[in-house]
Amino acid sequence: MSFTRRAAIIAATSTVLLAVFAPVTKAHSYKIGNLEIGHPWTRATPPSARVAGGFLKITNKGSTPDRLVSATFIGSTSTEVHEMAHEGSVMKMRELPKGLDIKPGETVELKPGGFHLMFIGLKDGLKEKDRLKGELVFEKAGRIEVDFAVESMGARGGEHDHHDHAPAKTN
Amino acid sequence: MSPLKFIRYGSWAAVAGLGLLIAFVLLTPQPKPDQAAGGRIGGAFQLAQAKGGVLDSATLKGRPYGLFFGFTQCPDICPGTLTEMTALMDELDKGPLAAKLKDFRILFITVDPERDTADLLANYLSAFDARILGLIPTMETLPGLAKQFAAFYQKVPTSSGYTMNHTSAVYLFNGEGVFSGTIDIQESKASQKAKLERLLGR
Repeated sequence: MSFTRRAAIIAATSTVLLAVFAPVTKAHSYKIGNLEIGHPWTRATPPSARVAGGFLKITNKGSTPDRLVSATFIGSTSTEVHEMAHEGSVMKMRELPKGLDIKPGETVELKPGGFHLMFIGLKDGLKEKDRLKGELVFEKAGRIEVDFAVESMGARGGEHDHHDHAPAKTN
Repeated sequence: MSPLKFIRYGSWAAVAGLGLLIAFVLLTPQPKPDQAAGGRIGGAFQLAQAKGGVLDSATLKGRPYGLFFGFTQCPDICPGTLTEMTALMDELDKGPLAAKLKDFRILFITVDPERDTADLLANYLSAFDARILGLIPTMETLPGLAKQFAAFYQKVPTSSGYTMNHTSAVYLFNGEGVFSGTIDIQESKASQKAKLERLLGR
Protein backbone atom coordinates (compact mmCIF):
# COMPACT_ATOMS: atom_id res chain seq x y z
CA MET A 1 0.00 0.00 0.00
CA SER A 2 1.41 3.38 -0.95
CA PHE A 3 2.22 5.90 1.72
CA THR A 4 -0.36 8.41 0.47
CA ARG A 5 -3.04 5.75 0.32
CA ARG A 6 -2.24 4.67 3.88
CA ALA A 7 -2.25 8.29 5.02
CA ALA A 8 -5.61 8.80 3.36
CA ILE A 9 -7.05 5.75 5.14
CA ILE A 10 -5.65 6.91 8.49
CA ALA A 11 -7.08 10.37 7.91
CA ALA A 12 -10.48 8.98 6.96
CA THR A 13 -10.52 6.62 9.96
CA SER A 14 -9.51 9.45 12.29
CA THR A 15 -12.28 11.63 10.93
CA VAL A 16 -14.84 8.90 11.51
CA LEU A 17 -13.49 8.26 15.03
CA LEU A 18 -13.53 11.97 15.83
CA ALA A 19 -17.07 12.25 14.54
CA VAL A 20 -18.10 9.31 16.72
CA PHE A 21 -16.34 10.47 19.88
CA ALA A 22 -16.61 14.24 19.54
CA PRO A 23 -20.18 14.37 20.92
CA VAL A 24 -18.92 12.80 24.14
CA THR A 25 -17.07 15.98 25.10
CA LYS A 26 -19.74 18.31 23.72
CA ALA A 27 -21.50 20.70 26.03
CA HIS A 28 -24.60 19.14 27.52
CA SER A 29 -27.55 20.62 29.35
CA TYR A 30 -30.62 19.68 31.36
CA LYS A 31 -33.94 21.19 32.36
CA ILE A 32 -35.88 20.65 35.53
CA GLY A 33 -38.91 22.82 36.28
CA ASN A 34 -37.82 26.39 35.72
CA LEU A 35 -34.14 25.61 36.00
CA GLU A 36 -31.70 25.14 33.17
CA ILE A 37 -28.50 23.31 33.98
CA GLY A 38 -25.53 23.81 31.71
CA HIS A 39 -22.61 21.45 31.19
CA PRO A 40 -21.78 19.82 34.51
CA TRP A 41 -18.04 19.05 34.45
CA THR A 42 -15.13 18.15 36.63
CA ARG A 43 -11.42 17.65 36.12
CA ALA A 44 -9.07 14.73 35.75
CA THR A 45 -7.21 14.23 39.02
CA PRO A 46 -3.56 13.52 39.84
CA PRO A 47 -2.88 10.07 41.34
CA SER A 48 -3.79 9.77 45.04
CA ALA A 49 -6.07 12.80 44.84
CA ARG A 50 -8.95 12.47 47.27
CA VAL A 51 -11.00 15.46 46.12
CA ALA A 52 -12.16 17.18 42.95
CA GLY A 53 -14.26 20.21 42.10
CA GLY A 54 -17.57 19.99 40.24
CA PHE A 55 -18.73 22.83 38.04
CA LEU A 56 -21.92 23.78 36.17
CA LYS A 57 -24.21 26.65 35.30
CA ILE A 58 -27.72 27.05 36.70
CA THR A 59 -30.23 29.49 35.23
CA ASN A 60 -33.52 30.21 36.95
CA LYS A 61 -36.08 30.99 34.22
CA GLY A 62 -38.94 31.15 36.72
CA SER A 63 -40.28 33.91 38.91
CA THR A 64 -39.53 32.37 42.31
CA PRO A 65 -36.17 31.78 43.96
CA ASP A 66 -34.78 28.28 44.22
CA ARG A 67 -31.75 26.83 45.91
CA LEU A 68 -29.19 24.15 45.14
CA VAL A 69 -29.41 22.34 48.46
CA SER A 70 -27.07 19.43 47.93
CA ALA A 71 -25.55 17.11 45.38
CA THR A 72 -24.14 13.64 45.07
CA PHE A 73 -21.46 12.24 42.80
CA ILE A 74 -21.01 8.59 42.00
CA GLY A 75 -17.22 8.89 42.19
CA SER A 76 -17.00 10.24 45.74
CA THR A 77 -18.21 9.31 49.21
CA SER A 78 -19.58 12.80 49.89
CA THR A 79 -20.27 16.07 48.11
CA GLU A 80 -20.49 19.55 49.59
CA VAL A 81 -21.40 22.94 48.14
CA HIS A 82 -18.42 25.26 48.58
CA GLU A 83 -17.41 28.79 47.88
CA MET A 84 -13.86 29.73 47.06
CA ALA A 85 -12.55 33.26 47.06
CA HIS A 86 -9.21 34.96 46.71
CA GLU A 87 -8.44 37.52 49.37
CA GLY A 88 -5.26 39.13 48.19
CA SER A 89 -2.96 36.18 47.58
CA VAL A 90 -4.81 33.90 49.98
CA MET A 91 -7.21 31.25 48.70
CA LYS A 92 -10.14 30.78 51.06
CA MET A 93 -12.74 28.05 50.97
CA ARG A 94 -15.88 27.61 52.93
CA GLU A 95 -18.79 25.25 52.88
CA LEU A 96 -22.23 26.69 52.15
CA PRO A 97 -24.23 24.48 54.52
CA LYS A 98 -27.55 25.91 53.31
CA GLY A 99 -26.62 25.58 49.67
CA LEU A 100 -26.64 28.14 46.92
CA ASP A 101 -29.46 30.58 46.11
CA ILE A 102 -30.61 30.79 42.51
CA LYS A 103 -32.68 33.96 42.21
CA PRO A 104 -35.34 34.31 39.52
CA GLY A 105 -33.87 35.44 36.21
CA GLU A 106 -30.34 34.79 37.41
CA THR A 107 -27.59 32.49 36.21
CA VAL A 108 -25.28 31.15 38.89
CA GLU A 109 -22.06 29.68 37.64
CA LEU A 110 -20.11 27.13 39.62
CA LYS A 111 -16.64 27.53 38.19
CA PRO A 112 -12.94 27.35 39.08
CA GLY A 113 -12.07 30.10 41.53
CA GLY A 114 -15.66 30.52 42.75
CA PHE A 115 -18.63 28.41 43.78
CA HIS A 116 -18.08 24.71 43.25
CA LEU A 117 -19.21 21.29 44.30
CA MET A 118 -16.56 19.64 46.42
CA PHE A 119 -16.35 15.91 45.70
CA ILE A 120 -14.76 14.42 48.80
CA GLY A 121 -13.34 10.94 49.23
CA LEU A 122 -12.79 10.00 45.57
CA LYS A 123 -13.07 6.27 45.10
CA ASP A 124 -10.87 6.30 41.99
CA GLY A 125 -8.95 8.90 40.09
CA LEU A 126 -11.02 10.83 37.55
CA LYS A 127 -9.90 10.26 33.97
CA GLU A 128 -10.23 12.78 31.19
CA LYS A 129 -13.13 12.13 28.78
CA ASP A 130 -14.98 9.93 31.29
CA ARG A 131 -18.53 10.83 32.22
CA LEU A 132 -19.75 10.15 35.74
CA LYS A 133 -23.24 10.40 37.12
CA GLY A 134 -24.30 12.72 39.86
CA GLU A 135 -27.48 14.15 41.26
CA LEU A 136 -28.41 17.75 42.00
CA VAL A 137 -31.04 18.47 44.64
CA PHE A 138 -32.98 21.73 44.46
CA GLU A 139 -35.26 23.00 47.18
CA LYS A 140 -38.23 23.56 44.83
CA ALA A 141 -37.42 22.01 41.48
CA GLY A 142 -36.48 18.70 43.08
CA ARG A 143 -33.85 16.16 42.07
CA ILE A 144 -32.20 15.65 38.73
CA GLU A 145 -29.59 13.17 37.60
CA VAL A 146 -26.79 14.69 35.51
CA ASP A 147 -23.55 13.53 33.91
CA PHE A 148 -20.32 15.22 34.90
CA ALA A 149 -17.92 15.36 31.95
CA VAL A 150 -14.32 14.84 33.09
CA GLU A 151 -12.12 17.43 31.39
CA SER A 152 -8.35 17.84 31.46
CA MET A 153 -6.49 18.38 34.73
CA GLY A 154 -5.77 21.99 33.88
CA ALA A 155 -9.19 22.86 32.46
CA ARG A 156 -10.42 26.27 33.56
CA GLY A 157 -13.89 26.01 32.06
CA GLY A 158 -15.23 27.21 28.74
CA GLU A 159 -13.21 24.64 26.80
CA HIS A 160 -16.32 22.67 25.92
CA ASP A 161 -17.63 25.55 23.82
CA HIS A 162 -15.27 24.76 21.01
CA HIS A 163 -14.70 21.04 21.33
CA ASP A 164 -16.85 20.42 18.29
CA HIS A 165 -14.39 21.84 15.84
CA ALA A 166 -11.16 21.64 17.80
CA PRO A 167 -8.74 18.81 17.09
CA ALA A 168 -8.76 16.03 19.67
CA LYS A 169 -6.36 16.65 22.53
CA THR A 170 -3.44 14.27 22.56
CA ASN A 171 -2.11 14.89 26.08
CA MET B 1 -23.05 79.77 60.78
CA SER B 2 -20.23 82.17 61.79
CA PRO B 3 -16.98 81.85 59.85
CA LEU B 4 -15.19 80.77 63.04
CA LYS B 5 -17.66 77.93 63.64
CA PHE B 6 -17.37 76.94 60.01
CA ILE B 7 -13.60 76.65 60.35
CA ARG B 8 -13.93 74.71 63.63
CA TYR B 9 -16.42 72.18 62.20
CA GLY B 10 -14.41 71.96 59.01
CA SER B 11 -11.26 71.14 60.96
CA TRP B 12 -13.00 68.45 62.98
CA ALA B 13 -14.39 66.95 59.77
CA ALA B 14 -10.90 66.92 58.29
CA VAL B 15 -9.51 65.21 61.42
CA ALA B 16 -12.28 62.61 61.30
CA GLY B 17 -11.66 62.01 57.60
CA LEU B 18 -7.94 61.59 58.18
CA GLY B 19 -8.66 59.20 61.07
CA LEU B 20 -10.89 57.10 58.84
CA LEU B 21 -8.24 57.05 56.13
CA ILE B 22 -5.55 55.93 58.58
CA ALA B 23 -7.87 53.25 60.01
CA PHE B 24 -8.63 52.05 56.49
CA VAL B 25 -4.95 51.80 55.59
CA LEU B 26 -4.11 50.02 58.84
CA LEU B 27 -7.02 47.59 58.69
CA THR B 28 -6.69 46.59 55.05
CA PRO B 29 -4.89 43.22 54.94
CA GLN B 30 -1.35 43.94 53.85
CA PRO B 31 0.87 40.88 53.79
CA LYS B 32 1.18 40.75 50.02
CA PRO B 33 4.54 39.11 49.46
CA ASP B 34 5.33 41.42 46.52
CA GLN B 35 5.11 44.43 48.75
CA ALA B 36 7.41 43.18 51.44
CA ALA B 37 11.01 44.26 51.26
CA GLY B 38 13.11 41.86 49.19
CA GLY B 39 15.13 39.51 51.37
CA ARG B 40 12.80 39.63 54.35
CA ILE B 41 10.82 36.66 53.04
CA GLY B 42 12.54 33.30 52.98
CA GLY B 43 15.75 32.16 54.60
CA ALA B 44 17.24 28.80 55.45
CA PHE B 45 15.10 25.68 55.90
CA GLN B 46 15.44 21.92 56.04
CA LEU B 47 12.38 19.91 55.08
CA ALA B 48 11.53 16.26 54.56
CA GLN B 49 11.04 15.43 50.90
CA ALA B 50 8.07 13.42 49.72
CA LYS B 51 10.36 11.20 47.65
CA GLY B 52 12.65 10.63 50.64
CA GLY B 53 15.54 12.44 52.27
CA VAL B 54 15.77 16.02 53.45
CA LEU B 55 16.02 19.13 51.32
CA ASP B 56 18.41 21.68 52.81
CA SER B 57 17.94 25.14 51.31
CA ALA B 58 21.75 25.48 51.27
CA THR B 59 21.82 23.01 48.36
CA LEU B 60 19.73 25.47 46.33
CA LYS B 61 22.49 28.05 46.37
CA GLY B 62 23.14 29.41 42.91
CA ARG B 63 19.84 28.01 41.63
CA PRO B 64 16.67 30.06 41.36
CA TYR B 65 13.58 28.33 42.68
CA GLY B 66 9.86 28.72 43.13
CA LEU B 67 7.98 27.75 46.27
CA PHE B 68 4.35 27.46 47.14
CA PHE B 69 2.08 26.22 49.87
CA GLY B 70 -0.76 23.84 49.14
CA PHE B 71 -2.22 20.44 49.96
CA THR B 72 -3.41 17.47 47.96
CA GLN B 73 -7.06 17.65 49.09
CA CYS B 74 -7.36 20.95 47.25
CA PRO B 75 -9.93 20.91 44.46
CA ASP B 76 -8.76 23.74 42.30
CA ILE B 77 -5.84 26.04 43.02
CA CYS B 78 -3.19 23.42 43.82
CA PRO B 79 -3.69 21.06 40.87
CA GLY B 80 -4.33 24.17 38.75
CA THR B 81 -1.05 25.79 39.78
CA LEU B 82 0.88 22.53 39.37
CA THR B 83 -0.60 22.04 35.89
CA GLU B 84 0.22 25.59 34.85
CA MET B 85 3.77 25.45 36.20
CA THR B 86 4.31 22.14 34.43
CA ALA B 87 3.06 23.62 31.14
CA LEU B 88 5.17 26.74 31.64
CA MET B 89 8.35 24.73 32.22
CA ASP B 90 7.53 22.55 29.20
CA GLU B 91 7.26 25.65 27.09
CA LEU B 92 10.47 27.25 28.38
CA ASP B 93 12.30 23.93 27.92
CA LYS B 94 11.96 24.51 24.20
CA GLY B 95 13.55 27.97 24.37
CA PRO B 96 16.92 29.57 25.13
CA LEU B 97 16.49 29.16 28.91
CA ALA B 98 16.34 25.36 28.70
CA ALA B 99 19.81 24.87 30.18
CA LYS B 100 19.09 27.13 33.16
CA LEU B 101 15.71 25.50 33.65
CA LYS B 102 17.35 22.12 34.26
CA ASP B 103 18.46 23.26 37.70
CA PHE B 104 15.25 25.13 38.47
CA ARG B 105 13.02 23.65 41.18
CA ILE B 106 9.53 24.37 42.40
CA LEU B 107 8.97 23.40 46.02
CA PHE B 108 5.45 22.37 46.93
CA ILE B 109 5.14 22.58 50.72
CA THR B 110 2.07 20.92 52.17
CA VAL B 111 0.07 22.87 54.74
CA ASP B 112 -1.73 19.62 55.58
CA PRO B 113 0.96 17.33 56.99
CA GLU B 114 -1.72 15.47 58.94
CA ARG B 115 -3.09 13.95 55.74
CA ASP B 116 -0.31 14.46 53.20
CA THR B 117 2.05 11.60 53.89
CA ALA B 118 5.29 11.28 51.94
CA ASP B 119 4.03 8.43 49.75
CA LEU B 120 0.76 10.14 48.99
CA LEU B 121 2.40 13.46 48.10
CA ALA B 122 5.08 11.79 45.95
CA ASN B 123 2.43 9.83 44.08
CA TYR B 124 0.27 12.94 43.61
CA LEU B 125 3.19 14.94 42.23
CA SER B 126 4.14 12.17 39.79
CA ALA B 127 1.50 13.63 37.46
CA PHE B 128 3.50 16.85 37.14
CA ASP B 129 6.96 18.05 36.14
CA ALA B 130 9.72 16.16 37.97
CA ARG B 131 11.31 19.47 38.97
CA ILE B 132 8.39 20.05 41.34
CA LEU B 133 9.45 18.66 44.73
CA GLY B 134 7.01 17.81 47.49
CA LEU B 135 8.10 18.91 50.96
CA ILE B 136 6.49 17.98 54.25
CA PRO B 137 6.94 20.04 57.39
CA THR B 138 5.80 18.65 60.73
CA MET B 139 2.82 20.09 62.57
CA GLU B 140 5.41 21.64 64.90
CA THR B 141 7.59 23.27 62.22
CA LEU B 142 4.78 24.42 59.91
CA PRO B 143 3.82 27.59 61.85
CA GLY B 144 7.40 28.90 61.92
CA LEU B 145 7.91 28.02 58.28
CA ALA B 146 4.76 29.86 57.22
CA LYS B 147 5.91 32.89 59.21
CA GLN B 148 9.30 32.75 57.52
CA PHE B 149 7.56 33.09 54.14
CA ALA B 150 4.80 35.47 55.32
CA ALA B 151 2.37 32.75 54.23
CA PHE B 152 -1.09 32.19 55.60
CA TYR B 153 -2.78 28.86 56.25
CA GLN B 154 -5.82 27.90 58.26
CA LYS B 155 -7.82 24.76 58.84
CA VAL B 156 -11.50 25.16 57.94
CA PRO B 157 -13.97 22.57 59.23
CA THR B 158 -16.62 21.27 56.81
CA SER B 159 -19.42 18.77 57.37
CA SER B 160 -17.31 15.84 56.21
CA GLY B 161 -13.95 16.86 57.65
CA TYR B 162 -11.88 19.93 56.89
CA THR B 163 -10.29 21.91 54.13
CA MET B 164 -7.47 24.48 54.17
CA ASN B 165 -7.25 28.15 53.38
CA HIS B 166 -3.77 29.09 52.24
CA THR B 167 -1.59 31.57 50.40
CA SER B 168 -1.76 30.49 46.79
CA ALA B 169 1.00 32.54 45.16
CA VAL B 170 4.17 30.90 43.86
CA TYR B 171 7.07 32.68 45.54
CA LEU B 172 10.16 33.20 43.40
CA PHE B 173 13.70 33.18 44.77
CA ASN B 174 16.84 34.04 42.85
CA GLY B 175 20.15 32.14 42.97
CA GLU B 176 21.10 33.97 46.18
CA GLY B 177 17.88 32.85 47.83
CA VAL B 178 16.51 36.40 47.77
CA PHE B 179 12.75 36.77 47.37
CA SER B 180 12.09 38.08 43.87
CA GLY B 181 8.31 38.37 43.55
CA THR B 182 5.46 35.97 42.98
CA ILE B 183 3.57 34.25 40.20
CA ASP B 184 -0.17 34.07 40.69
CA ILE B 185 -2.51 31.59 39.06
CA GLN B 186 -4.92 34.43 38.31
CA GLU B 187 -2.51 36.33 36.11
CA SER B 188 -2.12 35.73 32.39
CA LYS B 189 0.13 33.00 31.05
CA ALA B 190 2.21 35.67 29.29
CA SER B 191 2.85 37.45 32.58
CA GLN B 192 3.71 34.18 34.37
CA LYS B 193 6.12 33.32 31.59
CA ALA B 194 7.76 36.76 31.63
CA LYS B 195 8.31 36.52 35.40
CA LEU B 196 9.92 33.10 35.20
CA GLU B 197 12.08 34.19 32.27
CA ARG B 198 13.22 37.23 34.22
CA LEU B 199 14.07 35.09 37.25
CA LEU B 200 16.04 32.57 35.20
CA GLY B 201 17.65 35.18 33.01
CA ARG B 202 19.30 36.92 35.91
